[in-house]
Amino acid sequence: MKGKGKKERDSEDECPLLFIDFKSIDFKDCPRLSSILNRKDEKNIGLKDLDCLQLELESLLTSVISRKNQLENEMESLVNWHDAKTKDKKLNVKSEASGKRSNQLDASTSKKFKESHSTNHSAPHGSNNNSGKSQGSIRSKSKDVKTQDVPDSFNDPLAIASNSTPIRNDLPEKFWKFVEPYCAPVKPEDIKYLEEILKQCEVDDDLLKIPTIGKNNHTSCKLDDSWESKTDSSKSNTALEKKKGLSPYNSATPGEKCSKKTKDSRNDSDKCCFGILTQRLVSCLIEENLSRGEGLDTDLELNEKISNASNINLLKSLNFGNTNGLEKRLKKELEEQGLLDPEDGEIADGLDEESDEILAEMIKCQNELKIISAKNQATIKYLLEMAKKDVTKQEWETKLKAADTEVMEAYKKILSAKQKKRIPTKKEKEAATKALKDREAILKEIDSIK
Amino acid sequence: MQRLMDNGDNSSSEEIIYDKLRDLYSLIEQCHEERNKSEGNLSNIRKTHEKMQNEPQKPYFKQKLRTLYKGAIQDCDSEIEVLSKSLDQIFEIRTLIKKRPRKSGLSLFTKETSIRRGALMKMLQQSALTLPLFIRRNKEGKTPPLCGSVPAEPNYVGKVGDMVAALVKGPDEDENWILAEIVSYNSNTNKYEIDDIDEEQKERHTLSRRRVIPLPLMRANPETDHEALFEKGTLILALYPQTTCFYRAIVQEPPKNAQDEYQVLFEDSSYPDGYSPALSVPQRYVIVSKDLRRK
Repeated sequence: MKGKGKKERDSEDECPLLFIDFKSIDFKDCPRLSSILNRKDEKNIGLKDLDCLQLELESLLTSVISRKNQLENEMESLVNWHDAKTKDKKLNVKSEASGKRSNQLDASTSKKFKESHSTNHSAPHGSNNNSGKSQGSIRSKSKDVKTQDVPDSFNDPLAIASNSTPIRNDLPEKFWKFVEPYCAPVKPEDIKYLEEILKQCEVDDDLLKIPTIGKNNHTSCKLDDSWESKTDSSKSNTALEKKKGLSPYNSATPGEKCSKKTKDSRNDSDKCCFGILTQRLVSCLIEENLSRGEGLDTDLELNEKISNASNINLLKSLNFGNTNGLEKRLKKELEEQGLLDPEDGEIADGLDEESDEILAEMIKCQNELKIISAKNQATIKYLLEMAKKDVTKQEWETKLKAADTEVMEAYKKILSAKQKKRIPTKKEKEAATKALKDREAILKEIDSIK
Repeated sequence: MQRLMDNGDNSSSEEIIYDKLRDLYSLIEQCHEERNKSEGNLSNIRKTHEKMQNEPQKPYFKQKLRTLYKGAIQDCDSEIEVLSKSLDQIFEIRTLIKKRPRKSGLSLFTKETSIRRGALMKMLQQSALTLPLFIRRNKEGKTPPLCGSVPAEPNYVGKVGDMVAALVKGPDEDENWILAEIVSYNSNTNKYEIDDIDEEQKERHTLSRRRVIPLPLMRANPETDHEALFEKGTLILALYPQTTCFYRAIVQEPPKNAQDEYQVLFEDSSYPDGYSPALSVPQRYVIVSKDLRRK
């Protein structure tokens, strides 16, 4: 800026004009145009002429526009020169002043730029208004800077480079949109929301209780029932009931194992209320049966039906009187055959609890969940605490603002008094000191919160 | 005009065009007048410049030059106005011709008449040449979208009848960027219906908008809007001369003036270095290369 000012002063006596030879394009250079204008007989234009005419008119227009720009530039330098001549000294002052002003302007814009940056980055808890404003100022200022720079640094390759990127980059806007909510002040709704989440976490504790197996299996069996009845409604009731306990589906997984057990203990009136050994034995036999008929679904179903029916008939015909008796007898028989150790049965009973892989998995998952939820809870609590703190801080900040205005008012009063060359009254002095003290107290309060 | 009269349908559109042409003529006469008027001022300026160079400090000259400049600027303004008006008039006439029902032999193009291939190519060349030139009125300001290399705005929807480059699946599952014309746009599905400009391909295509690139609606003037041109070395899609397909190419030389064309090197495996010799392609048929598969 300064350099330019000097230059102007140095070249004061020289003529700044370039004495450009302003020329308008000769119509002779536009053959189509001149031929059209020379048509005397037919005052009209043919469609064939349009294309050429368009190009000629376009080049004429561009030349006129560039001439106008040149003229305006020359006009400006002429006016400046003229002024320089007549108001020699004044201009110097002026040009310097203008230089200063623009310098200041630059500085202030850059300052603002920095400020707004810093507010945005360093104050995530800053007020919404503030951040919104600063964003606006960033954008508008940066634009201002650009437009200011363009005429000055027309020959600056960098400026041209920035000009030559025609693709508008709206990423910054997207970024600020994304960041905006994080800079917003904490509202009571936010705290409410956090508290709600915290409550939900507490409720979650109930879900961690492992329900008793009986209850759980009861429901799962019901589910099984409904599923099966859906898939095959033609099956007879007895077959269905039978399947509950004896079907290969149920004996397939360890989870289903318990289902058998619970069934036994649940109801004696049920037709499949046989002991565990009985069931296991029967199911083994049935599986053998089934494996033969595997391959076709219809065959499978048919086989099942037959085998189930025949089995139940067989068992019935054996007439064991009561299932407990049957169980005991079976155990005895098996022990005698050497197929079953006396301890085995007990182990088998106890095994259910230990070998329950689902239970183990559940407990494992629960432990993981507990850890996670504990972490979550801690984080939420921390957030809540911070939010509450921030709310109080915000309150104090509003108070601080009020105090600031009070101080300013007191200052203005005293200033006006001084301007009127009278000593400020006691009241005014007292008000000023009070306002200052109040403000300091608030500042201390805010510091303590931090 | 003679031709127009010969074809002489009494349709109203013919008459409108005729009237418009008459208006255009008077506008051009006005241009001529304005030009002559401004010439007077300019020659005065020239004379004053000459005198002034001998004794530049004379305040009289300065004052005189000031008024002369002022007058000349005003002349420019009125000249600009009339010239813009006449150009607008030309574009109006052009759109009228385009919309006009077929029959009269003055074809730009439409689907109904079958144009021979050579004529089609000539027509494409012509329409590229007469694409309106973007003329900036002031030094600052951005080049508008769809002028030269400036792409359309992200949510831009092409108008019916606008020319586009469209990525179309060929019969052998290969994909080609073809020159096409917008038939309609469905804003619900975000899909264009387009017609191949080559009439031998009768099929109508429905394509999502990312497979459609609108062609520029204005030429950029290299003298004033250099930044709205693809620079040397840029990878672009360009219409291969005498075809209606866009292929990848590299800019060898951007146009030097408003009437000039790009010199581009097409990717071509039949040449030893992988590129064809420089071919000229008008601004209208040079667009951003968009690789969909990479996304």
